[in-house]
Order: sequence, then C-alpha cells, then structure tokens
Amino acid sequence: MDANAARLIGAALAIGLAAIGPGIGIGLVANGALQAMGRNPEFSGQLQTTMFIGIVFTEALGIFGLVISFLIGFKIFG
Amino acid sequence: MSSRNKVLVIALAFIGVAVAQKIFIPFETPAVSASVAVKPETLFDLNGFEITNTLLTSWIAMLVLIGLAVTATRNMKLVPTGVQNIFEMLIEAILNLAESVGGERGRKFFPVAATILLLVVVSNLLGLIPGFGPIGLISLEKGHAAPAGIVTFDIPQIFFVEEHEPGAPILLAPFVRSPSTDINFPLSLALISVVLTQIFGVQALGFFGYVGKFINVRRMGKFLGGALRGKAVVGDLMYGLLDIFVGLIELVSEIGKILSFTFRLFGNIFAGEVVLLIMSFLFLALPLIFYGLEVFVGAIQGFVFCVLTLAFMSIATTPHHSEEQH
Amino acid sequence: MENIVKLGLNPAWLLAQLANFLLLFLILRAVAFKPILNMLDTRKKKIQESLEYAEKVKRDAEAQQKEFERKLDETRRQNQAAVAAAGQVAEKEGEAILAQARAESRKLVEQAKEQIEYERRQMQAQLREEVVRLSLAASQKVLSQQIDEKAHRQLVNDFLAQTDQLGNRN
Repeated sequence: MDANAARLIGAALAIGLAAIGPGIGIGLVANGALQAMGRNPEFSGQLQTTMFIGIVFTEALGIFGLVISFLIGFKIFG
Repeated sequence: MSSRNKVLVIALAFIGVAVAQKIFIPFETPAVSASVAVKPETLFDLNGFEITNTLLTSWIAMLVLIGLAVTATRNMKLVPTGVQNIFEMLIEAILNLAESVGGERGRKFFPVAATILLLVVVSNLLGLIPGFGPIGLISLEKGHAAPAGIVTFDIPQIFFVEEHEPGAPILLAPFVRSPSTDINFPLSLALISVVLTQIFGVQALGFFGYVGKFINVRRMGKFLGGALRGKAVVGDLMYGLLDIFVGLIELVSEIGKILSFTFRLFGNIFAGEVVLLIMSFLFLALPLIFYGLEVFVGAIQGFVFCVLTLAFMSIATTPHHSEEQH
Repeated sequence: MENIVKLGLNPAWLLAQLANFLLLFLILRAVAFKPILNMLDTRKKKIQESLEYAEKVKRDAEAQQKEFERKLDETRRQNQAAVAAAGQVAEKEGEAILAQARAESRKLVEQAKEQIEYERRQMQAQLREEVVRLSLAASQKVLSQQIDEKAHRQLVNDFLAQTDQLGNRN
C-alpha cells in the first residue's frame, strides 16, 4: 500500500468513525427534546434552544473528525 | 419586465457570451479547475498585506449590515414601517433570545452576540449567492502542481482571457468566498467570544472570584492548615486535589472553547462548500437540495455561535456552586 | 508551524478579521442597537402607558356605571317607598271611613233598637192599663156584691205584679 492510499483511507476512516458517535448522540438529544416537548408543549421554545445547544455540542465532535479528515486528505497534516 | 423574463434574458446573455467566445477565441482553451482550498486565495497585494477573497467578503458583509442598519434607523418612527420594521423584529428576536439565555444580564451580552449572529449569517449567505462562485480571478501557478489543501474539479470554463502555460493547473479563485471557510474568521470570532466571556466573568464576580473557578485551593489550604496543627483530615486532601483537578479541567475547557468555536463554524461551512462542489456534478436540480441544506446550515451556525456565546457568558457570570454551598 | 500556515492561519489576516469585527461591533452598536433598543423601550413604555390609560378609562366608566346604577336603584326604591306609603295612607283612610260607617250604622241600629224598646214599653204599659181596665170592668160586673171596688183593685194589682215578675224573668 503506498502512502497516498493510506492517507486516503485514514481520511475516510477519520470522518466515518467520527460520524458514528455524534449520529447516535444527536438522535438521543432530539429524542429527549421531542418527548419533553410532547409532554409540555408550552415550554417548547425554551427546549428548542437547549436542544440546539445540546445538538451543537454533540455535532462538534463529528465536525472535529471532519476537519481532521480534511487535514489528512488535503495533505495539510502528515 | 417581469422578474421571470429578467432571469430568462440573463441566462440567454450568458449562453450568448459562451457561444461568442467559442467562435471568436479560436485557440484551444484549457479546462479550468474549480477549487476549494483551505487557504483563502489572495486577490491583491497591498504593500505586503494580502487582501484575500474571504476578507473582501467579510467587508461586503459589513457593508451590507451597516447599510441595512443605517437604512433601518435613519428616520425612526414609533410605528415602524418597511425596513425599520423588519430590522427591529430581527433585533427584538435576538434580544429575546439573549434575555431567555442570559436572564437579566442578557442585555449586557446582547450587542456582541447580535453582532456575531448577524455577521456570521450574512457572510455565510453571501458566499452562497449563486453566480458568485464562478466569477473570479484565474490564477496561474506556472510550473507548479496544485498547492496543498486543494480539491480540484475540472469545470467547463466560460470566460478565459489569460495566456497560460500548457499543462499548468488553472485555478478559479472566486472574488466572493464565505469568510467562514477561512480559518482566520471563525478564529477571530471565537477569540472575541471567549475573551469577552472572561472579561464579563471578571466584571461580575471580581478578579479573585472569577479566577477562583480555575485555581481552587481553598480545601487544599484547609488540609494543609490542619496538617500543620497535627490534625490532617484525609477527606480534605482528597477534595482539595479534586478541586485543583476540576479547576485545571475548567481552564483547559476555556481553551477548548476557542477550538470548538473555530472548528465548528469552519468545519460546517467548509464541508458545505466541498459538498456543494461535489454535488454540483449530480444531474438536474439535485444539487439544489444540498444548496438549501447549506443555506439552512449557514443560518443555524450563526444562531449556534450566538447562543453558545450567550450561554458561556451566562455561565461565566454566575457564581460558582461550591462557593454558595459552603 | 508549517502545518498551521498550510491551514491558512495568518496573523495579519487574523488581525484584519478582529479589526473588522470590532469596527462592525462599534458601528452597529452606535447605529443600530442603541437606537433600536431605545425605540423598543420607548414603545414598550408607550404601550404600557396607553394600556394603563385604557384601564383607567375603563375603571372610570365602570365606576360611573356603578354610580348610575346605584342612583337608579335609589330612585326606584324611593318610588316604591312612596307608592307603598300612598297605599298605606289610602288603606288607613279606607279603614277609617269603614270604621266610621260601621260606627254610624251601629249607632243607627242602636237608636232603632232603643226606639223599638221604648215603643214596646209604651205598648206594654198601655196594654197593662187596658188589661187592668178590662178586668176591672169584667170583675165589677161579676163580683160587685161580694167585694168592694177598693179590695178588688188591690187583688188585680197583686196579680199583675206577679205576672210582671214572671215576664221580667223571661
């Protein structure tokens, strides 16, 4: 396997693996938020903001993986 | 002339120019590569200070915002109309957001949070305006391969004016490129957000009150004092170490905030650009779906940056819990 | 370090973006945020004032309405009282008239009764006289020889006194 192929595999793995956790996490966040909204819809505005914050924190992990993937794939690191 | 006819005329003009170019430029034209580079492209060089397309776009965004603000507030009326009404609704929505996240301190956080929100949303959307992507400088990197950090795709070129070296890559550097795809822009916003958070924290809690969050040696001191008097309590040692450790984690998380702010915005928008470029090879209107997604993401990222700034400021200005308990 | 440069990080560009942001922040704060917040506050106060004014007007109107109703009630009550008083007076007068009439009729009846009694007494006395006279005449004819007139009269008067006693006892 030449270095380029290894680099590309690394880039793909970086984003692929990094997407698993946040995918599950965002699902859980949305699940909880929707259940809460369904139970007391009068708080849905507040819940939405909090849900976005939660989603964003979770999503950040995936984005980090994506950035690392770009950095590897674009030959910036390594 | 209706707007539909206008669109039609513009499209016909583009096609006409392309056809005329094929007829009047007889020599073989090379394929131009559309590119997404991590590094922003330099447009002009002002005495060593390179003006990049992202910087230009952020200036345009500033002009748009200032123009909007001036138009909205030029002659304000108690009963708002037109631009004033829309802008006021926007500002009021952000103010409500700030007050819902930051409570009574929301008003203090509001100006910086609103500026961040407006600037990020406008600059993200500016980079997405159709037609701006293909209008740009064609830079010739004579005798060089494509620089690192570039995804290139061959696109059918429409305008071609410059002499070129055969075989050299020709890159299209658009005049307008979303500033969020340049790491300096999100980094500057993140720095401002985090530094202001520290300043507000110090203002609200006092210097020692705020720094005490990070360097918490009170219980360790209690243990040492006890040890000097010959009554060492093991629990105090444990909690003292724990406090110091938690303080260190808080300190690291402040730095982590800068990184996460920066790469969240940068990663989202940059990935969006790459996705748009790749998806533009899908057929018919399929790329439109991704275009809509990117518009949504661009707006959401501005909102998120603003909400997170507000939330961090709100947390930083709230007294620490352990201080209240003891 | 080289990697960071490759990433596009550049101190000059970073400073330029920071300056951009600060400039935009200052301009927006001066041009947009302060006036608009002031305007929002002014509007809020104005709306609150008008709401309070409306509330006050409403309260006044309600108070007036209440006052009016109270007066109406009072008038109605006064009217009722007057009517009731008038009715009482009329009743009293009627009763008085009735009582007077009754008294008069009673008086008339009593007068008539007295008259009748008087006449009856008269007639009784006359009748007694007649009876004495008749029995005297008759007994004079029958007993003229045996009893003188004086003893006879004595006898009859005794008899009559006895009958009177009997009659009075009835």
